[in-house]
Amino acid sequence: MIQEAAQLPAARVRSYVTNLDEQMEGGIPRGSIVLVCGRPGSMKSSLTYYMMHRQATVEGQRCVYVTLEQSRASLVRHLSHIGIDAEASGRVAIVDLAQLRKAFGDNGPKGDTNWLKAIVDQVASYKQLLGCEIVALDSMSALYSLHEFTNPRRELFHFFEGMRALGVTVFLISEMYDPEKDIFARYEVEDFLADGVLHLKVDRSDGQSNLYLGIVKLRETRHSRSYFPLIVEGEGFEVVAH
Amino acid sequence: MPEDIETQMVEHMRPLFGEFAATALEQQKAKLGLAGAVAAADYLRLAEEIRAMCREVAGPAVAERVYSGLLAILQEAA
Repeated sequence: MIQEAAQLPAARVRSYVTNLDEQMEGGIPRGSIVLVCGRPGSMKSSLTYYMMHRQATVEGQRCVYVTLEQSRASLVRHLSHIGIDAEASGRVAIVDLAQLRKAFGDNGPKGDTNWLKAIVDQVASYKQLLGCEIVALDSMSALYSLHEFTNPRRELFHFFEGMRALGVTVFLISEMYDPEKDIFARYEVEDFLADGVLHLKVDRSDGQSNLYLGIVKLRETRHSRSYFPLIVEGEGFEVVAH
Repeated sequence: MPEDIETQMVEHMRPLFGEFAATALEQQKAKLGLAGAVAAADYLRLAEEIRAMCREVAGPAVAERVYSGLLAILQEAA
């Protein structure tokens, strides 16, 4: 049920991760671009979808989750395993661009698609079509596999500015590959361009695999710098605050 | 005038399909074996095929929205 309290959009997008919003002045500033980073298996997609799902079901926000690699059906099945019924609210549209890639090829009809621009244009279209306030793109690695970069720093600057100009809150899911270093995205410039960085860290030691969440960066916000244990229970996420 | 109808259908599909919209329409036409002059009943079948494709891409809520827009275009043209 959508609560009637949400007549006007709040200035911050609450994560609805128990104990987390208190660590960042109540949530993410609306209109921010936030990197959600982590190594494979760190629940980046699940956490991002969960935040959007809660925004939709509790606050009535319209959201679009764009997947470039994982199919819509596979994502819906995965979410149901962690207790999230992706079809329930009808306010989070999962758009499967992987399906379009499969059907029509990666190069577009003219064979020279500028994928960074195409994604910004698509998000603008979704805003018009669906009236969305929150968008997620899963993943940056998939986008990079499509786009031919000539000057990554310059092109990514325009990509981020294009996204920012849309006036929606954006989550960009970013795979981290270097096991030794905290490099949040491939070109090492994305975390400077983004307004926020949420880092999901998997600690695999002593035969255990524990998940931690850190707010590395969040503009216009006084936030904790700690890494908090992240627990997934039922259909909810919770951090254990110190 | 099929070109006009199809142009309108492509424009209606563009927000979801982006630059793949025209290709998507052509692909569905080929799937249904539609070539040359297309009858009104066949345009309806085409709209239904596009709805099915939209369901796979973006789920039932978005598919119904696109489908109802396509139906409106076809009704307007009838």
